[in-house]
Amino acid sequence: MACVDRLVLLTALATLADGAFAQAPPPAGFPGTPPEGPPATIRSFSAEPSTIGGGPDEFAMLRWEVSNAYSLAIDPDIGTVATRGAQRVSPAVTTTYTLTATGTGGATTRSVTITVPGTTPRVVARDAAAAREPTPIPRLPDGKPDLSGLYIAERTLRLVSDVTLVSGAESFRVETKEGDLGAGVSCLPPGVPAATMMPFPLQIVHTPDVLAIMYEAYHLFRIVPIGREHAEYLPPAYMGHSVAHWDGDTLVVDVRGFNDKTVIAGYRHTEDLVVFELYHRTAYETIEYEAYVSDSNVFAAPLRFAGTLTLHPEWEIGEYVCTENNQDYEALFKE
Amino acid sequence: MTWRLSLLAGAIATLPAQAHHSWARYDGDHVVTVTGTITAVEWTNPHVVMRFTTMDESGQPAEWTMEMDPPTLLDRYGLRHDTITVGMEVKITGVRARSGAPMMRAVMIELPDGTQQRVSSRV
Repeated sequence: MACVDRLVLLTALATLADGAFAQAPPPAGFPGTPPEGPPATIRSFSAEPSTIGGGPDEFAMLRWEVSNAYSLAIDPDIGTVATRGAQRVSPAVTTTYTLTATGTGGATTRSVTITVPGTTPRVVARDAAAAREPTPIPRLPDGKPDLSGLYIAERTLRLVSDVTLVSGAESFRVETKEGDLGAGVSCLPPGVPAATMMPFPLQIVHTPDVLAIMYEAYHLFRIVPIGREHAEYLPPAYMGHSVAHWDGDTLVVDVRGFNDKTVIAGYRHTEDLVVFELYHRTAYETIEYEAYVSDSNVFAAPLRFAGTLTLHPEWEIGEYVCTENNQDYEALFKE
Repeated sequence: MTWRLSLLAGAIATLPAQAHHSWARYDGDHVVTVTGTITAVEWTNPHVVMRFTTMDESGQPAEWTMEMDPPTLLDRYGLRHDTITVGMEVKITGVRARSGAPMMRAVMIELPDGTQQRVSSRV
């Protein structure tokens, strides 16, 4: 490993020890001052039937549909749910189910009661969500944290370091002119960590030997062997080539073998680009993520990106077809 | 004309690296809300497109186009593809093309039942 790579990695691990993940600045979003997003709205929440007999074969269906929620949960017993859905429930006693939708401006709730005649209504904690026992971090057979799950970084993942250039590297800056369609319109892979920074989720499937990352955006995927070294020759690639090893409970992914066709923090780079990604599952619901980006031909010091990948077990990776209306995107702007 | 300028002033941020379609084409300094009647919905990737008719400054009908987030994101925000239909009158909040083209990038739409629906990851 080259000296600069060791420096990058040591810096990264020192940062981990300092617990500096939470120091990322607030995310930027809208170009200009964003309007306030609409509040979470519960469009429907029902129980059918609303009265059941309470026997082992008796059940009712909860159905709901919500708009604009960042998170949704039904209590008691059910937990996190998707934006719309149905759930079969079989309470033995009269039970009130509460749907809590959290979005811009806070949470809104709605409740439905399933009556089981002749029973004493179940007492549900006033803040049932807070009363839920935290789910432990899952572990692989080798004892390491299991990173598997569907996550999204949303706008938490940001460049959190200064960009300092080596002498003469100013020419690598990409000038954005008014009217540019943006790099994404080409549908080419954006690289690492840019693929994780997009507002789309990613699915991680983790075994002791391999970390597979499947991105909804562009339907990209990375297969990351754990415990292996890079091959001697790495053909240039948009997403580079990845291998990983453990440092304690942090998975360190070493990505190199990039082509020079992507843009990082507004700068092109060379094929000497190296990225170290750090994945640290700090809770069942979160992975703290960092990426250290170095290219000694462009950057005088490694760039640091940091953010939180939040688990969304209620989601599925959806279909994403980049080229459909990008083929003639310009036509939308005809005067 | 039914444009209602919200006059939300602010500095234009550098184009985020994660943007797909560039926001540089839009006037991010001014968020507007317009009422229109939907004439077409194209449930397409990577951006859902809606055509609508509104009234211009002289009170004449004008054909406009707006783009929203991709279908997968709209679904997670709670917007179904069959919720917005041709003939429906909606209020659209977003930003206009800098070029003056009748084009906007929507961040929120208000449905006839009064429900405000997020349609962009930026809000």
